[in-house]
Amino acid sequence: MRAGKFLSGAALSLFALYFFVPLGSLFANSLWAGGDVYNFSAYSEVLRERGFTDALMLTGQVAAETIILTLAITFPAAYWVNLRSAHLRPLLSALSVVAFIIPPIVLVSGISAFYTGPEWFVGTPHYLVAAYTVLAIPYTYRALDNGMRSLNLQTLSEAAQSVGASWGTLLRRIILPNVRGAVLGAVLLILTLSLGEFTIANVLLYQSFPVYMTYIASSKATGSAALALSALLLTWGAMYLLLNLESGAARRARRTQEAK
Amino acid sequence: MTQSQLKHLHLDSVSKTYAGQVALHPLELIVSPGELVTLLGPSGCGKTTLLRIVAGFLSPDGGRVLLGGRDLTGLPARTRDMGMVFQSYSLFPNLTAGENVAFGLDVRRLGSAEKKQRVDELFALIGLGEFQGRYPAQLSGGQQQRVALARALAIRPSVLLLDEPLSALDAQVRLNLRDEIRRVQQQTGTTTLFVTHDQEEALAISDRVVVLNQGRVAQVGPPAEIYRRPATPFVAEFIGRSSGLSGQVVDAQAGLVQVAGLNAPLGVGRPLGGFSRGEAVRLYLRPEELRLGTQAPGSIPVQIRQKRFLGAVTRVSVGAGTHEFEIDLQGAQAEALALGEETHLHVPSGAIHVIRETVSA
Amino acid sequence: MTDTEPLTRDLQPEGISSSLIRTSDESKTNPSGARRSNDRMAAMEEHPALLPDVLVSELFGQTPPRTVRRNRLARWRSDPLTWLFVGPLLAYLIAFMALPSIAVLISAFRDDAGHFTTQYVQALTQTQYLLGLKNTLTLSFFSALIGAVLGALLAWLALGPGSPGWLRRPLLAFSGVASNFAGIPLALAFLMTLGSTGVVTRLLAGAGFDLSRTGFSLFNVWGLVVVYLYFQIPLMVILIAPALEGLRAEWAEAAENLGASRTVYWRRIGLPIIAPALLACATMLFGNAFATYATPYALTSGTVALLPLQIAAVMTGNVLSEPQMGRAIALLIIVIMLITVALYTYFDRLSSRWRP
Repeated sequence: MRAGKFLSGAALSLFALYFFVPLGSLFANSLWAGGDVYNFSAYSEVLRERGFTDALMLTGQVAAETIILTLAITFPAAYWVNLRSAHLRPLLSALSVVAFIIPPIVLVSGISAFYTGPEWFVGTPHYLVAAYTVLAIPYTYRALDNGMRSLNLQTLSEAAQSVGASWGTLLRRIILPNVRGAVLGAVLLILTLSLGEFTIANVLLYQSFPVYMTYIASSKATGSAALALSALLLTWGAMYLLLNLESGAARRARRTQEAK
Repeated sequence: MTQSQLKHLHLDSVSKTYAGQVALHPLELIVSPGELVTLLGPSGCGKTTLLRIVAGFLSPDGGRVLLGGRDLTGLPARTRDMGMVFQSYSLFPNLTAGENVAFGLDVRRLGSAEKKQRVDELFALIGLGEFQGRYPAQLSGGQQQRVALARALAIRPSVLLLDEPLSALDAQVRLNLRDEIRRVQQQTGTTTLFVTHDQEEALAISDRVVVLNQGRVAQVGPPAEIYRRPATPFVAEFIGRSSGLSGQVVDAQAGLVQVAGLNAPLGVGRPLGGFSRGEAVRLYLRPEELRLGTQAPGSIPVQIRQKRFLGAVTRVSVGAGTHEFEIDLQGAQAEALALGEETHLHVPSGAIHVIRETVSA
Repeated sequence: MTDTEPLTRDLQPEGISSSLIRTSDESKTNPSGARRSNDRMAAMEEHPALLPDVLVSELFGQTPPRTVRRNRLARWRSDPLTWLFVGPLLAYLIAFMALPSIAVLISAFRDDAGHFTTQYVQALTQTQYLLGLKNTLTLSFFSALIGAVLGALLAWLALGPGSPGWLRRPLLAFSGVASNFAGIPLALAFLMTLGSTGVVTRLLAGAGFDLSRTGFSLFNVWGLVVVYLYFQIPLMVILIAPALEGLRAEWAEAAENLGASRTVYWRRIGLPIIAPALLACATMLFGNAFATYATPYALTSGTVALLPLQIAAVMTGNVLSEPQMGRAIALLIIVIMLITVALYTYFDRLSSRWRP
């Protein structure tokens, strides 16, 4: 028993080494300011770098548009599948899995081969949004579907209608507040996706945040390390938030379950 | 059947504490060979903890588990030769029913002919002969539990442990399987510990019942004794239905107890040995022992408050001031009663069970 | 039999993103009293271990019975609102996923004049593309294999029974981050660790150990395997966690109770139960590695021939080649994905006898 505990502790430590040493090196290097000087100058310098703001703005815009577009087409579908058309769930699940495994490089080569116009679409950030939405749909659909399923929409809406609530009231007062966690989760995931997606943006020659980070890496490695670490912390924060949100939602769902 | 089944299971002041919370106070219990003893109590009373200590999945903080005088306390579960049936879903899903039952025999490296014979015997015993080749997912809940029982019995366990094996089943299946378990247990003569929170189940199946409350034994005894002579207010209220009253002994020799709100003292019908005048007591009256009728000496004037039709009997609630009594009546008599009707409650002598208020647990 | 019954089979799946954060509450809220008349449903609740492969098997065609299909169409037609709610999503996926993919397939067989040709597909046999294929396969296979083994081990150590409970949430959060860690951040992290001036390289050199002498380099396929594991292991943790949590404690206890050692339990019960999930997750890892572009691009700038890099090089005009060449490679990737999927389905069938 004790030997087993020791072995598993040792194995976990090895995993920890593999995962944390590279992060430590990244951090150490981001502090290097030439010679023996170590400080946070790389962090402040990179913020003043030309192109940084533009890249961040572009990524922000793409993320926002992707969030809106994805929610606009996914929310009604997830809602309807949970309320009325459970028989469509296998179809939508299958489609979202396909969207998950299709390699971004294949996706982008397909989209760029198929859509060569119109002007307002090709060559604008909207083009990037179109591709990112395909990547975002699996995550979003899953999150929403799970959130709504734990609610048991059918019973909820019947209950609401039995006390005379209109359709709009039902959506606004009952459903939206209850799936807020799932929606927020989806939003965070899309944000994470937009902050990290490099393949499509690079192939389509957009200076998005990850592309910019790669671009300055060749000239300013420390600045790039600083950016990389900041982005990582941001992603981490978002993930942690998401995990807490989700487990909070799960707790609520469990409580409702028990109350039944 | 085998030698191992002639051993006593002895729990010698076994205790357990979880993170400062006492789950089990030192507890003493001897289970005789071939006996079925039920651990009964509400959730959190320590019954499952005790069972898991016997099985070897938990180690007690104090005390010993002895089988035929041999100390098992430090032994790992897999060397204890105890068959366990879990609440539900415990069959290995990737093995057929037959393979499940044979699992313990495989581990013991039994010859294949002998193994097959044993498995066939057990399937005949549980009446599922033709289901040997099915996977658990293809069996109903009741069938799964039967197979689980066969699997536990296959290794000829020294003690059979059943951890609420019926609680996940539908009512009808539950009744059938309950009788089935008892039949198989008696047929094989296996010493058995049965855990349940269902008092009816416990009364129906056991040789003896151990009522547990908050990690302590409240009472040990045969089902009839537990039912008729509960030792504590907890047992009286947990087992069966009864109307409870608080009162004070007026005359121990004459068996008279004064209950606030009733005009005359209630006659218990026997001397209250060991009680003294003025002592606070709880009185318990079983609904099937009470009668309604015309005024008579000792009867209590009551009003009909509620009737519930239960099939064989109708349970009538009657009120006398702040007190309420439940009486089980046969159909015809109950139908004649109207809600609000005034009548009289007759308490036959011997129907009142008296317990000291101060008895704890 | 109503037509909803065979469908219940498909209603269970929990997806990638959800399993990422899901804390198997479904299996926990239901320890007792759940066995209702619908035994199929109950039996399914019994097997959360199967979630990840349901996910994959969905994809690889569990064709519902024909009657169901007809009913589905009928219902679809009878409820025009369905079009309004679900239509946009379907239309979008057709427009931006299905049609472009088909366009890739078609244009791989067309020359500039629009005539049918197999010249681009034949060109795939050129040494550089064969090397790309070999490298990508090697990299994907080994990073998936090692990643799956180590990831399952890590998940078991950190999330399995007897593991410290506090580790659970940080590990899942970290896995969520690390499985998305790619591109220049990941490349820099490893360059600064195991590169020629990396922290670990220098530490080892200080201890008199020359890492480059061992033949190790970040800039070949094996170096990439080491780097890929940084996101493959966490991805495995996320994907396999629900399956591990689906292993009921009762199974292990029942086995122990019947006299089985841990080894016997794993050999006869534990591993056979999660084997399909392990295979399914490993397949996902393989696909994930195969699709990875940003990391090898940032790390090697194309010195290691890999198919995704080759597509991109063609498309961004970094090499003198026609765009159809990129589409031919994309076609090759799609074909390999399909083979992977077929293999998975085969394995899955082998072990699915006992499933409800």
